Formats: sequence, C-alpha cells, structure tokens
Amino acid sequence: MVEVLALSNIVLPVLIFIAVYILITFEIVDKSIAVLTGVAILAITHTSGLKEMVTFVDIDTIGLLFGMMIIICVIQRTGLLRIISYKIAKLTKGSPLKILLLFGLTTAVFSAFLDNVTTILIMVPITIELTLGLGLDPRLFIITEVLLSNIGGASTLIGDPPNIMIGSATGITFNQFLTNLGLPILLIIAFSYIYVMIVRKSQLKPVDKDLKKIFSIELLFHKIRSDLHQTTFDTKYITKSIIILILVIVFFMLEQITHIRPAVVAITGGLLLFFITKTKFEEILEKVEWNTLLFFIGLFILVGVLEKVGIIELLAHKLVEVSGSNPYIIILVILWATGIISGFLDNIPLTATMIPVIMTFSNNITLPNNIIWWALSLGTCLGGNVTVVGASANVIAVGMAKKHHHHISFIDFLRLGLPIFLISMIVSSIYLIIRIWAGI
Amino acid sequence: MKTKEIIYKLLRDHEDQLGANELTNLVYTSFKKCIDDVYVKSVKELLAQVYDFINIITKSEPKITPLNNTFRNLLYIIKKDEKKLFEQDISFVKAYIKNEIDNRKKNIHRYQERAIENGSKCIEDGDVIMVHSVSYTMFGSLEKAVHRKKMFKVYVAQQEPKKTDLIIKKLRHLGITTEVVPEYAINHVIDKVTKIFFGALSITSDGHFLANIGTKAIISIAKLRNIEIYILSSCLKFTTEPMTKQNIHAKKELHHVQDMSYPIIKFSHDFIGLDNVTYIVTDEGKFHSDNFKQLYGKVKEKFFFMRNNNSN
Repeated sequence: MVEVLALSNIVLPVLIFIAVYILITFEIVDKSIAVLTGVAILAITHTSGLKEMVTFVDIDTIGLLFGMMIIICVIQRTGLLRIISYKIAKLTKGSPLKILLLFGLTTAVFSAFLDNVTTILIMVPITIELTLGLGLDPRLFIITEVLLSNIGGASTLIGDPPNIMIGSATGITFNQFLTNLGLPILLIIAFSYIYVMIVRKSQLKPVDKDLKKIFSIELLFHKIRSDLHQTTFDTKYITKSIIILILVIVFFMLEQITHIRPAVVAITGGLLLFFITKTKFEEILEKVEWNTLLFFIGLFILVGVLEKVGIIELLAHKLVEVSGSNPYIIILVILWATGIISGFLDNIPLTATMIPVIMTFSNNITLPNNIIWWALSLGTCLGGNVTVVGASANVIAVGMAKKHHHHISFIDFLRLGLPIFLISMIVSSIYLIIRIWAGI
Repeated sequence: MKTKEIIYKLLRDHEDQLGANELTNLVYTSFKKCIDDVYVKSVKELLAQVYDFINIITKSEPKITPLNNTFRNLLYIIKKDEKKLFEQDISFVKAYIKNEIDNRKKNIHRYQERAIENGSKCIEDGDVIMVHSVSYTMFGSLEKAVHRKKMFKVYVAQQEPKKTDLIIKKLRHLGITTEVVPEYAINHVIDKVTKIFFGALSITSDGHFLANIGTKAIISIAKLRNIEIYILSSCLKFTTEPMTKQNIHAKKELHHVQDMSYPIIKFSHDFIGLDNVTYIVTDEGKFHSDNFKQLYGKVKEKFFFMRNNNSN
C-alpha cells in the first residue's frame, strides 16, 4: 500500500509535467494556463503544499525578468530604438548587403541586452519597409535577423530567459556570461554571415547601378524620416533612460564587487526610471508581461515537485549512464541534446528541467569553470534557431512578415535556420572541447 | 512588387503629406542625389537610365502634374543636347543634368511664391476658412495672411486621422485658431464658413481638377449654401490632358470584421468640375471659374507654348 502511494506520488507529477509539455508545445492552451493548471492539480491532490510550492519559485529569475520588463517598457516609450533603427537604415544607403549586416548586427547587440521579442518588434518593421522599398524579398533579411537575435541573446545573462534561469540558479555573474560566451557568439555570428553571404549571394547584389532603385530607396528614407519627425521625442526623457540603462548594465558587471544580485539591480533600475522620468506606474504595469511571469512561477513549481519526488535525480543518473565520465562526451551530449530539443520544444521548460538535473549530476562529476553550464546555455539558446517554433521571437517575426503578405513557411525557416544551427553547434562544440582540453 | 509600383506608392504617400508642389521639390532633390550615386560605365548607359526614369515618373498613378510637366521639359532638353553629351565624360553629363535640375527647382519655387502671394490676398479679417487637404500653396497663403495680421479662423474637415493630425500640426505652428469637424458633419458648421480652400494635384484641359479624396463631397454641400470655393495652385498644375488620363489610383482591399469580410474600394483622389468652384488662384492671379478658358489659354501660352524652353 505504501509502495502504491509512493508510486502515485511519482507518477502523477510526471504525468502532469508531460501533459503540460504537450499543451505548451502544440499551443493547445495558453502556456501560463497550462502550467498553472498543472500546479492547481498538484495542490488539489496534496502532492505539494502551497508553502512548499513557494519555496520552489526562483525569486531571482522572476525579479530579474520583472525589472528588465519595466526598463524595456520605459526605453521603448522614449522612441530611442526607433531613432537608432532609422540611423542604421540611412547608413545602409539601400545596399542589401549592408541591410543584412548592419540590421543583423544591431539585432544581435540589442538582443544581448533586451529581450529577443522586443528587439524583433523594433527591427523587423523597418527591415520590411526597406527591403520592400528596394523590391527585395524581405524573408531572407527577417529570418537572418531573428536567427541573430537568438544568437546575440545567448551572450549575456539578461539576453535570453535560459541564461537568466541559469544565472539565478548557479550564481554565475553577468561578466562571467559575457567573457565566457562572448567569443563563441562572435564566431557564430561571423560564420553565419559568411554562410548567408555565400548561399544567398544573388539576393545581396548592390543596387547602385540602378537609378530607379536608388531613387526608390531615397524616397523611402524621406518617408521614414518624415514619419519619425511627426513623432515628438523628449530628449531629456531619452537621456535619463539611457543613463539608467547604462547604470544597470554597469551594476550587472560589478556584481562580484557589489554583491548585489541582478534581480535587485534590475528592479531598482526600473523604480529609478519611474522617479526620474515621472512615468505613470499604472501605465507601465499594464505593459508588464504578467503572463510570462506567471508561466515562469508555475514552471518552477512543476519542476520543484519533480525534484522533490526524485525524478530529477533519476534523470541525472540516466545522464551519467549515457555519457559516462568522459567530460568531452558529457558536454557534447548536453550541448547537442538540449540544442536539438530546443528546436522543437519551448526552451524555457527544458532549461527549468535541466538545471536541477545538471546540479544533481554535478555532484557526481566535476567539470571545471562552469563549462557544463555554458554547454546548457549555448544548447538551449541556439537550439531555438532550428525551426520556426523554436523560439517566441521566430513566431513573432513570421507573423510580422505575414502581415506584409510575405509567408515564411516552416521549410523556408528550416532552410536557413538548420544550417545556421549546425554552424552554431559545431562552433560551440569546438570552443567547449578546446576549453576542456586546455583546462581553461 | 516592381520598382515602378513601389515608386508610385511612395509618390502617393509623399503627396498625401506634402502636396504636389513640395513633392515635386522632393523628387528633384532625390533625383539629383541619385544622379550622383548611380554607378554607370558610359554616358549612353546613364542617359538610358535617365530616360527610363523620366518615363516612369511621367506615368505615375495618379499623375503628379508639376512633376509631369517639368520632367517632360527636362527630357526634351536632354534629348536636344544628346549628341553633344555623348561626346562628354560621365562626370560632365552628371553635372549637366544636376544643373538642369537646379534650374527647375528655382522656377518651381518662383511660381509657388507668386501663387502664395496671390492666395494670401484672398484672406480677409473675420474670414472663417474651411480646409481639407495638405497643400503647400494653401498653407503658404494662410501663413502670409497671418504675417499680414489678418484675423481669421480655420475649420479643418477631418479625413484620415494621420493627415488631419498633420494639417492641425501645421496650422497650430502658424498660430491659427483651428477647430476640427468630421467630414460627414460639416453640414452643422458650414453656415459659419465664409470660404473653402483646396489645393489641386492637376487642373485638366477639360475643366476639372484633381484633389484629395473627399473634396467632392465637401464642395457639394458648400455649393448648396453658395459659399465661395477657392482652388489655390501654381500654374505648373495645368495639364493639356483631360481628366480621364490622370490615372487616379484605385485599390480594392478586403476588410475583416469578426466572422465576415467585405471588399472596400479605395481611390487616391477626387476629380471635380471647375464649374463647381468659385475662384482659381494661381501665380497668374485670381480668376473666376467662369474665366477658366481665358486662364487656361494664358497658361498654355506661357508654359506649353514654351514648354520645350529651358526657362520653364
């Protein structure tokens, strides 16, 4: 009888977790509703008590997400990002190659500090306008931007939710993320560009030999500038917001000296922005993605229960069995497995599941310099590039293209996404192997 | 979408925001920059591209008459000098074309200023003027009247929100007292209005003018109440072509509402008979619409008779 009860205590959370995963993957219901329903069932069946559930929630991750959401909302209201995207558009002078390079790089840099969806919402509309103005097919440019957004996001603690979760769970700092992942991300960006420039050469021909096209892009720049001039920008508001954003990033970087957690820095930065810019609190609170925050809270509880009933430990042991004690195999298994799974499933629940698995696993096998976490970060963040459903930013970008009557099919995305994913994984593998080999 | 269609769409968008005269200036400024930027291997290639470009510009949907007139003239001048140009190098030909562009810009400005001067004289103290569209000549006339300390008020007949906002912004900038009335409700204020000002995209040989969509509805109401209707425009808007050849752009869009969808046909401009307006004010002066033929003849003599002349 006791055994049956113990078994049901294990089976129920596993079944709920699998059901929630299916609901999220196939978008049968809203992902927050899916996880919260799972949590409700666990509470009703007394699998876990409310007090216990609260202890499963990683407040560092929730706080950092909340703080960054406030900062991004205020920055977006300043119009600063629109001005930057217009300036970049002018720099391209209508050259398709420059549009690809400058907009892609800006997207990657923005994504390192802002969330990927926000970046895509800012960068894609002007890209569509520019490419259509040149009579080009915008799909190549949109897909490249979204791929670079996912790649750029992997380089910092705040660039992508999996990194926020890893950072909060392990205490890895902003600087550690940047110094350890910056180099592979730069290499991945460079190799991805080389690949796109070779295979899509015909779409990147210069337009400076065609008077009509130069004229068209010239008129387009006037239109974008005129639209921009019709918007009133408050330079003081913009300056104050930039100063706060820079301060927040500086404090992220100084974590080892100040010992102030990124969540505290982000929330304080958000509050300071309210005071300094006198933005109405209610207006910004309306823009905060409560849905996402609730999703994270629910997910932490589901994974916490799995950990409590011993499933995570079981998975960790399985991982040890599969990969043995060879550090090269362990790292490559984590990198490629999480990468491939993230291409088809939401990388946030995957990261939430993998963090305790790797923590338990690390008790048995020691790998230096957080390499195992870099493998998880690179796998979960870059895996989103495989398919159109691999990351939220991909779905948003495809939706925006559709609005402009350009359909990006699953295959269209895969054609560019899969090779770039493979490039990313190969570069990451080589980088991690060298680090294990050199012991750095 | 082909480059030609993209250019036409951009021309329509700019015309909405700037009016035809300012658009003409913008096109010349952009064209001059493009002449600098275009990479060609020979004069022959450069001229072929210029001819192709002029061919596109002069067939826009709708036709932008000041552009049409001045570019046709530019084409004539270049063709006349073609043989000499073939003997020159690319930089010389580029400089030659840019010089011709500058000449045209100066002339356009001169005609605009004269039309504005004449337009401003039509505004009296106590006038209540209704406006509807963005027109450089119209705004210039209102601005000049403000500088002359004329006391008047403006009603803006509301149309697309973006365009209306732009008009309000411009009028506020001039310090003019403004109120907005929806297009469909002007009946309620029309009795207070003393004059209605419109700009024009073209004034055709068969006695019509092309203006922003919605103009015809306002004129119909105003005419019933015998309110003075003014067309403010430079003579560069006059065309030898009839109204039917102005390529008014029509677009059918599918509108979706909940569980149904229906097509909406959108037109870029209205065309209205000049017998429906009271005065036509141009750089040539103020003419009663009954005297259109006299004005047309004068303009034809000035421009079309001489349209192959560099000075135009």
